[in-house]
Amino acid sequence: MPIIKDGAIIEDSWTVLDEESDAPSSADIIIPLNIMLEKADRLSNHSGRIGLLIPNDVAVEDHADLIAKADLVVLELPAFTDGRAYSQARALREDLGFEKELRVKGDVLVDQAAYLLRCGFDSFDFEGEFDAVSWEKSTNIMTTGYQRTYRDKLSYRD
Amino acid sequence: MYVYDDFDEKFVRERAAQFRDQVERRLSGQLSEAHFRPLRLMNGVYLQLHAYMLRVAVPYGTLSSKQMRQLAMIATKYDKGYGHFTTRQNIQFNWPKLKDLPDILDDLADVGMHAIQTSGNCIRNVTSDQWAGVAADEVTDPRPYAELMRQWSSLHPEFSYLPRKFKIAITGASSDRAAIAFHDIGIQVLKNDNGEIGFAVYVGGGLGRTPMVGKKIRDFISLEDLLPYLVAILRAYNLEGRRDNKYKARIKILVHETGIDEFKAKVEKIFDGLEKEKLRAPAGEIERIQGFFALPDYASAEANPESLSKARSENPAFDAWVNRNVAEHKQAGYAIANISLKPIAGIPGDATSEQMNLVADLAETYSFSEIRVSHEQNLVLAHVKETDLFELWQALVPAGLATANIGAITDMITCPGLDYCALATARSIPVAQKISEKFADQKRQEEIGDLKVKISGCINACGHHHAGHIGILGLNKKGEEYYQITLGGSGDQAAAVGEILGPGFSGDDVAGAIDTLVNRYVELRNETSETFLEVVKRVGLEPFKEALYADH
Repeated sequence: MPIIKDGAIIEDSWTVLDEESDAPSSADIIIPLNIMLEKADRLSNHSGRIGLLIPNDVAVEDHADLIAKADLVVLELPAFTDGRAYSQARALREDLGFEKELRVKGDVLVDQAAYLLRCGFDSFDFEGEFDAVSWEKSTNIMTTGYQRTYRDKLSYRD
Repeated sequence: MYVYDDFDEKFVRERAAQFRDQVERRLSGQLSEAHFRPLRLMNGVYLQLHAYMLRVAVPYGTLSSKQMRQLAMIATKYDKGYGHFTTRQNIQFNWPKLKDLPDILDDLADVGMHAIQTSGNCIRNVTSDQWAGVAADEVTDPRPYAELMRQWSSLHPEFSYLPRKFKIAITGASSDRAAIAFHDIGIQVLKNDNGEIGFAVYVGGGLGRTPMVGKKIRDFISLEDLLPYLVAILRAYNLEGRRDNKYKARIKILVHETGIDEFKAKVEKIFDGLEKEKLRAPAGEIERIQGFFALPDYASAEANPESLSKARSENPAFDAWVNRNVAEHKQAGYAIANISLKPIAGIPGDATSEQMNLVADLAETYSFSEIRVSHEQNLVLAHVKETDLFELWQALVPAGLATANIGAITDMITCPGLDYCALATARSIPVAQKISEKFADQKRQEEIGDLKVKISGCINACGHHHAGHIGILGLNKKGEEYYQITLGGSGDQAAAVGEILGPGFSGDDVAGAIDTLVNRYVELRNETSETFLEVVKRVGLEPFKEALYADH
């Protein structure tokens, strides 16, 4: 799956840690929240960066400490119609003050990218084929908005 | 009324351009129907039984003459010369072509209109009291707050993929004409002891297959916290609303399953954690919007003019119309003129292009170029001089717009039903037409008095049957349409869900059954002022059941 950032496919150093395997201590690893909660001790010697994969039925404010230490948070969009990650993202950005990279993984429609960016996501773990032209178009067609959000590029009335 | 500035106009034009691109991708096959569906829905485009349908937003039911003329133009140019006003104060066109939709959105943008979020699992058009600003029983005009919410909810980045649709209604009056108790969020504008404006907030009301009356979640939220509080409710719903079953996905189910106290605690916790400053309306914004809703420049007009009494005594039909369709205005010498879209045996809520143009002209001549749409699918000229009422009525008569039945039994809310809708299980319109014919006699309607009959063609309850004094629900058993009757529902400040009387009736027998129920009511009432609901409350359902089913 390509990782999209700033409208283009990027090289990505992150790998997702699964239940069994151990990654080299210098690797950038994404750890699912449940594993993180069980095995947090074993990561004390980890020298690479640590990302956190948070399912969309989790209240992010319940894990504010873990989130504050993470270098990356990945939220999930299991279906493009399932909008829970949008609220998780805004809570992370605007209420918990998370400033590192926020990534969305899953069934992202190109027509949703602008909304996701406005909610504070900056990279996309994208299912399916990436078309830079339609991405560019769909993320720039609206230049106006009525809601102030995190790192928003839109213009407002005042 | 609210007028777009350059910013609002740019916003709707960009949105129209975005949809044009999406339609082009759909027509070229680049976008699948599955992916196009939520995008078109959020632009008000449905796929019905026979064609696409476009639902255009009429925010809180207020329209200018210029906008009404544009709707008439759209009906003529892209449709079959008529439109249908809905229970959410919108208008829908039943026969547009997909390829024309982007042009229609451009035409709407030309007059400061759009179809944003008239469908889809997002925040829908905010509705309000059709008499807002002129009703005598009002704290203040609720429409500036409705406009604030319209802007706030438009293309909301966080709340565009909710578990299910989300409807907000607001009233500023003590008599609830906006059915706020049956909305996902219902808002009542209040003034506290210090004279400050705030809002009582209700949550979890709704009709559909599980009708519920909304529960109060806040007695008084201040104006500056209104939007942050809405964010907190919507966020709780977006995160926790059920997504496993679309029939259990509305906020009413979440509130019901969680319990209002626990749900309120969740909302308050989110609200406390919010970075509120950014979520509030910008400073001066509400005052800017309020400027557009200043009362029009009323002329000094004679109250109860001699000419009006004379015209009434000489024209019984006009007198009946004034009795039924004209309501009290807070400005002396002015009146609220309600225009019924329920002609006897007509299609409830439909208006032709000619009728729309006429109403636009009449609004221009008599009512400061402003028109309202009611959730009961009628139109309103909200500022008519009493001395102009007779002329206005004379102009309405030849256009079939002078039916004197507002609030009477033939003023039925009716969903489009199986004549149009892909979800319907039975037809609604022909049933309404038969009932309308049965009670056509003006004298009999007056004897009966106020009575709200509401008809839905399926369990989704778009015709608000649960809230009808008499509700009719069209179902289908083994290919045969039949109709279940409920009694005792109410959509106003004493909101209640009607109860099912017993076995259903065939389409041919419904009007007769309603006739039987109404006759029973008239027999049972102690005096003519005892309303249908009062009688149902006093005697219960038994006497009505007996009247209906004794011979069966």
